[in-house]
Amino acid sequence: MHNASNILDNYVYRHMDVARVLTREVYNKPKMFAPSRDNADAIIFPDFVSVNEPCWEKMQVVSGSASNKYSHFFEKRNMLADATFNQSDTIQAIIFNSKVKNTLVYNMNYIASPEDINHLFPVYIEIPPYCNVELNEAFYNDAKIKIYRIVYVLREGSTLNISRSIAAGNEEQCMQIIESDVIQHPGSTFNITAINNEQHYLQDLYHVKAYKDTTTTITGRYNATADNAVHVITDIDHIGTNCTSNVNVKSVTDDISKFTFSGNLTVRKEAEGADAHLQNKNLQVVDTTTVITEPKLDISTKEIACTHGCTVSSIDEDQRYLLNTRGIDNITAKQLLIEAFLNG
Amino acid sequence: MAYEYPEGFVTPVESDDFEPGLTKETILKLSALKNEPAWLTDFRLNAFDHLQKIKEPNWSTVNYKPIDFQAMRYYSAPKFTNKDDIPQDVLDTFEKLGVPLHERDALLGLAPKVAVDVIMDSVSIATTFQAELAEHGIIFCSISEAVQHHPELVKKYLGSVVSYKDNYFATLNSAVFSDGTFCYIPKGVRCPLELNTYFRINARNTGQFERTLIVADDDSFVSYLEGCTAPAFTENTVHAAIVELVAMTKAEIKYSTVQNWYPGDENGIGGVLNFVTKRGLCKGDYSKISWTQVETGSAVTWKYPSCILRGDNSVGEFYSVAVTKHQQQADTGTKMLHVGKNTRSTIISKGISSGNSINTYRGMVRMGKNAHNSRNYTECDSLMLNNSRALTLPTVMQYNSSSIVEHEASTGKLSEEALYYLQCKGLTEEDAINCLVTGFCKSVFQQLPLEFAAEANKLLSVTLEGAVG
Amino acid sequence: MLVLQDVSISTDNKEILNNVNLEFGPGVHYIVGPNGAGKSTLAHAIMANPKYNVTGTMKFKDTVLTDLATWERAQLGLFLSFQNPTPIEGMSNFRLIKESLKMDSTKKIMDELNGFKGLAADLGLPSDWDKKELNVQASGGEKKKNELIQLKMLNPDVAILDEPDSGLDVDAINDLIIQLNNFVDTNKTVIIVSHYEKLLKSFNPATVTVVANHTTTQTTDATTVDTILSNGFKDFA
Repeated sequence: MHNASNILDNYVYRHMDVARVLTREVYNKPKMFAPSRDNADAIIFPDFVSVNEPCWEKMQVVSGSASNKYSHFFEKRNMLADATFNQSDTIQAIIFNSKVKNTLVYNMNYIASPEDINHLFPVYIEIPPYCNVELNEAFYNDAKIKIYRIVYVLREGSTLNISRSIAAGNEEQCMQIIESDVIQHPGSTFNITAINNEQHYLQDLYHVKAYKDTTTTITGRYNATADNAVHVITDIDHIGTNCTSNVNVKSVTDDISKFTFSGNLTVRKEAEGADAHLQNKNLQVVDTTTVITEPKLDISTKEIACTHGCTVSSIDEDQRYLLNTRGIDNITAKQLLIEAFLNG
Repeated sequence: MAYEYPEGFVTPVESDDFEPGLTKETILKLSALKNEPAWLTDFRLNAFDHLQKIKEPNWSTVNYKPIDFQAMRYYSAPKFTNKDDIPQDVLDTFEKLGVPLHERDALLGLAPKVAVDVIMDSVSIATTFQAELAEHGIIFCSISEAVQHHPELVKKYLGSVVSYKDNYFATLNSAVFSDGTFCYIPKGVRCPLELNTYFRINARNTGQFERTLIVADDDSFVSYLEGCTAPAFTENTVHAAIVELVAMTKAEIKYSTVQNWYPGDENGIGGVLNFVTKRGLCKGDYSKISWTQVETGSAVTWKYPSCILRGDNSVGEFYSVAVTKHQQQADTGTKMLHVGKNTRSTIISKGISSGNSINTYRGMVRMGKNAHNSRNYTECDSLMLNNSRALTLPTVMQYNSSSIVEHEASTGKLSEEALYYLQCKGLTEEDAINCLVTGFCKSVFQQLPLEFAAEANKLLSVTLEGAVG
Repeated sequence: MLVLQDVSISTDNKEILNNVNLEFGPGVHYIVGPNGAGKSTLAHAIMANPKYNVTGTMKFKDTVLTDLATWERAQLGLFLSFQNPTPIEGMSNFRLIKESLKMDSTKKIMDELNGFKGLAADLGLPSDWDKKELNVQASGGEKKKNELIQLKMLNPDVAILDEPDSGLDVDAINDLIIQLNNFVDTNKTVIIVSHYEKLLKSFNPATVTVVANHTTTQTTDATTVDTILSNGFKDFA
C-alpha cells in the first residue's frame, strides 16, 4: 500500500484556509469578482495570462483582459463546455455568475496523468444565491497518487446537482482520494450521485455543513473487485433548523476486495426539525471480501426524525434459484441480482 | 422537581476497613484475609503488575473527574462473625430494599422463591437456599466460599472469558476483586430457582469490585438476576466489576440486571462510576447466552455485555433499556463476535434520555471468516424526552459472505399525537408519558424473568418522574 | 414426457422420499398428499433445487436430467410455479421474462411487453404491473397471477404448478381454471399439486399421484381424487 499517510500529513487544511479567504473576499468585494463580461457564465481561476492584481496565496485573479485562456469556455451562455483540469499546484476556482438565470450545465473532467508531479489538487466551486448548476464530474486517474480537495460553497437558495463518476486508468496500484467539503447556506440544495469503477484504492469523502432549511442528498454506488479497497465517509452536520438529509450508499464487493463505510450524522441542539436518514446496504458476492460499516448518529435535540440502517448480505440463494428455474444460468443470475440490488 | 433516590440511606454498622490506597501490600493483605490459595494470590499480583503499565481508556463519550485510585479503600466488610448473626440494622436495611434474606419468608409465600446471595460492600453476608440447590448438584455461593470449597472449578474458569489484561478496569478488578457470586450448574440440570445477587454499597470512599462467575455445563439452564443500590454520597464511588459466563454444549444462561446505583443529584454531584466488563462465552455447540439489562442508575456507565459465539449454532442476545437524566452519562452497548457456523445474535437496545444527559449505544457485530451462515439483527432506538444527547455508534464487520447482518436505528421523541390521545382518555400527562415509554421498552421488558418485570416497570416510572421538562 | 425411475430424495439431515417411480405424459396430472409429505420437495427436486440430494434417474423426453443444472432443465422446457414465489427487490416483473426468453432485438422486446401487459390486464393486475418489483409487497393472489403470466409467456412443455390456488379468491380461481384450460393442449404436460376441491374437480386427470409415507403411488384411476376428498389420506398412510 502506498505511503498515503506521509502525503496526507503534509496535506493539511492549508487549502481550506485559502478557500475561506476567497469566500470572504468574494462576499465582501463583489465588484472585483464580477466576470469580465456580463453574459459569461462564470469566472474561472487561474488565468494563465499575467495579472496585475494582488495574489492570495497561489491564486491568480482574472484581470478582465480579453486574452484569457479559459474564460472563453464560459462566455456563451448555456454552452456545454468542458473544463479540463490537469496538473496544477494552484487552487482552481470557479465562481458562477449570479446574473445567469437558467440552469448551467457543465462537464468537469479531472484527469490525472502519470506525469503528474503534484499529488494534491484543490478546487473551489461557488454557486451564487438562487442559482442552479449541474455538474457532470468525471475523475480519471492514471497517476500513482492523486488527492482532490473540492470545496463547494452553495449560497442562499442555490442548487447544485452533481453526477460524479470515478474511474481509473491503466496505471496499476493507483490511489485516488476525493474529499468534498460542502458548505450549504440557508435554503440551498445539494444532490450528488457518485459511481465508481475499478479503483485500486479509492477514498470518496463528504463533509457537509448544513446551515438552515437545506436539502442534502448523497447517493453512492460503489463496487470493488480484485484486491481493491474503497472507503467512503459521509459526514453531515445539521447546524440550523429544518435541514433534510438523505444518504443512500450501496456497495458490491467481489474477489478479495474491501469496502468500508462511515456515515456520521450530527444534529446539534439548535437544529430542530431535522429530517435525516442514512441507509447503507452492502452485497458481498463471494466469501473472501471484507465489509466494515459504521453508521453513526449523534443527536442533541428531540425535535427530529432520524433513522439509519445498514445491512450486509450476500447473493440470496433463494433468489438465485428462482432465476435458475426460469432458465437463467448462474453467471447471468449473479449479474441480474447485483443489478437488482443496486436498483432496489 | 426535587430528585429522590429512596435507596440513598446509609446503614450504621461496624466494619473492618482497609486504609485507603492501593499497593502490593494491599493485595497481599486482601488475599491473606480471605485465606486464598497461592494461585489466586498470583493471579491478583499479575494483574496488579500489569495495572502499573496501562492507562485508563478515554475513547468513550463519558467524562468524569479523574479518579484518585489511592484515595479509595479497597476493602470494607461489615463486622459480624457469621452469617447467622446479622445485626438488626442490616436486616432492616434489606427489608427496606425488598431483598428476601430469609428462606422462611419465601417458603411462606411472603416473598418470591428465589435463591439470593447478598453482597454488602466487599463481602457476601447471606446466601439462601444453598442446601436445596445442592441437592441438584448446583453450587450457588459467594466467590470467596467457592475458592475455599471448589477451588478446582474456580481455577479452571476464572479469567477464561475476561483475561486480566482485557482492559484497564478488568485489570483493576482482577487485582482487587472482593466478592461476588459463583454458580455452577451440572450436566443436564435445569436450575429450579431464579438465582439472584444483590449488591449494596454502604461504606464511604470504598470501591466495589465484584466478580461473578457462572458456568453452565452441558444441557443445563440457569436464570440469574442481579440488582444493586448505593447510598447517596456526595463523592463518586467507583464500581468496577467483572462478570464471566461460560455455556457448554446445549446450555443456556439467562443473565438479567436491574442497575440502580446512585446516579448523583440534579447537578451531577456524587453518584457511582460504573465500569463493568461482562462477557459470555458460548463455548459449546447449540449454547445460548442472553443478557437483559435495565440501567437507570450510575452517574457514569461504561459497560458492554458481550457474547463470543464460538460453538456452532450458538445464540447470543442482548436486550437493554438505558435511562439517563439530569447529568448522567451512559456509554453502553454490546459486542457480538461470531466465530462458529450458523450462529445467531439479536440486539435490541432502547435508550431514553432527558435533562443534560448523554446516552450512547456502542455496538460491534463481527462475523468472522468461519462464521458461515450466521445472522445478526440489531434494533437501536433512542427516545429523547428533551434536548439531551443521544448517540448511536454501531460497527459491523463482515469477513465472510454467507452471513447476514441487519441493523436499524432511529432517534426521536414521544409522539405528541399519542400523548394527546391518552390525555383525552383521562390519563394525566405523567401517566401518558409512562404508558408510552413502557410501550417503547416492551420488547426488552418481556425478556426479564417474570418476578422482575414488574419491578423494572416500577423502577422506570420512578426514574422518569419529573424527567420531561 | 417426464419419467422418474427409482428416485430417492433426501437432505443432509433426513430422507424424504424413496422408491419414486412416476410417468407423466401429455395431459393434466395431480399430485396430492397430506401436509409435509413431500409434494413440494418432489416438485423442487425435479428442478434440481440444491437443497436436495437425488438418486435414481429422471428423464425428460429421453434426455437424462441427472447432470443438468436447474437452468438447463428450465431451458429444455420444464417449468415450476412456486408455492411461495421469492421476492426480488430491484428487479421488475417484465425483466425476468425478458432475461428468461433471452430477448435481444428491440422489436421482440416490444412485442413481448405488449403480450405481457395484455395478460396482466386479463388477470386484473394494475396497468404498470410490468414495472413492479418481482413479488415485492404483492398479495398472495398477485404473486400467483405472476406465476401464471410466466407460465404463459415461457410456454414450457412440462409445467409443475405447486398449489397454484393458494391465496386466490373465488373469482381468481375461476380465472385460473380458465387460463389453465387454455394452456393445456395435446402436447403439454401439466402437473398440479393441490388440496383444493374445486380445482381438483375441474380437470380430468390422466394420473393421480399420492405422496405419503415417504413414497409415491401413481394411478390412472381418476376416482382416487373423490375417495381422498371424502376419506382423507388414511388409506395411504
